[in-house]
Amino acid sequence: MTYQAKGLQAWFFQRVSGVFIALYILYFLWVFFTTELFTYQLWLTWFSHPLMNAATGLFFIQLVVHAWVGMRDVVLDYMPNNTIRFFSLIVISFILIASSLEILRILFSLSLNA
Amino acid sequence: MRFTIYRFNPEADNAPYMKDYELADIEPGTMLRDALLRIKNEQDDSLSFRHSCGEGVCGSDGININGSNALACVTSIDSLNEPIVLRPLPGMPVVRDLVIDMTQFYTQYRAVKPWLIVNDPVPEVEFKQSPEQRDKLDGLYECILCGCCSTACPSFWWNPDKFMGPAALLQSWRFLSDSRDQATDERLEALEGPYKLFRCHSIMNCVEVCPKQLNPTQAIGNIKKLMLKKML
Repeated sequence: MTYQAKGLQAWFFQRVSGVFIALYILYFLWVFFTTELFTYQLWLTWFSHPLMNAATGLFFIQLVVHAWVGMRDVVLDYMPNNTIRFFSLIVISFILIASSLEILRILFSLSLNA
Repeated sequence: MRFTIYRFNPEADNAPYMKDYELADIEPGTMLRDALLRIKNEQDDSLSFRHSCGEGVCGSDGININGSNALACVTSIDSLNEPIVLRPLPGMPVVRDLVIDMTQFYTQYRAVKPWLIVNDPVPEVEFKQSPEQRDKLDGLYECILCGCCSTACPSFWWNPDKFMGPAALLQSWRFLSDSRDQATDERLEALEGPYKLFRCHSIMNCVEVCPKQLNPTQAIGNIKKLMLKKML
């Protein structure tokens, strides 16, 4: 039995990434609101920590996966024309890949500061 | 009692229109199908609608009643606000008035192979099933294929040729959960891809309108869980 097609995997990844994103945001908000004075230096130290840096990288990768599945669903549901569907998916994937590469570049530069 | 009914005869009309009717002396508890029959017999014999058994078994008279899909024969007009607005089931081609072309619906139904697939030699007398195995079919086999669920589903409106729709998927789960069926892998394989099963976003319109109180959303969720189990 092959499950290489995109239905089940997309559905599964969306749920797994949703859980990770929710946990990350809860942790982020907890630290943000329980820290008295959030200076730039503190912020830099926090995100330069290898664990936080890796978790943030993972968070954005999961966010891109989650957004891709969600946006693909919107396109497949609301755009009946195949040509428009195709170009919409190309544009969305380009934006998501470009944003994630930029975020990963920033995180990598932070990790060099550590 | 006032009625506003969708009318369209493709041989005579350029576009669909709504026509008003008024019925007097309606007894309490009258079913909508009987009211429609009175309108047809007493006022306008050109009005077309499907009906047969009159007791919610055959599934012929599914129509859109005040914005919600239901069977006319088991809908009491006492429960409806006036004017009672009647339209054909949404999202399907109209043949005439309240009669729709169900070809797409039946195509999707046939596509899930709604019959037992057995590869082993068929037993000479009967298939054996424990009471527990038989219980798993409750809430699934009762579907009368009226089409109320699939035509209430936005995903079916958007991709009627690709998404199987709640009625067909309920039947798919009915055979996937049947202890006698031996085609689980083939059935799951046939539902893979982004369209056939995974266009369902659990909107649950199907559950809300089903005249037999069945739960296609839960059946679809069970198919997804079984797929996941097989994948992991």
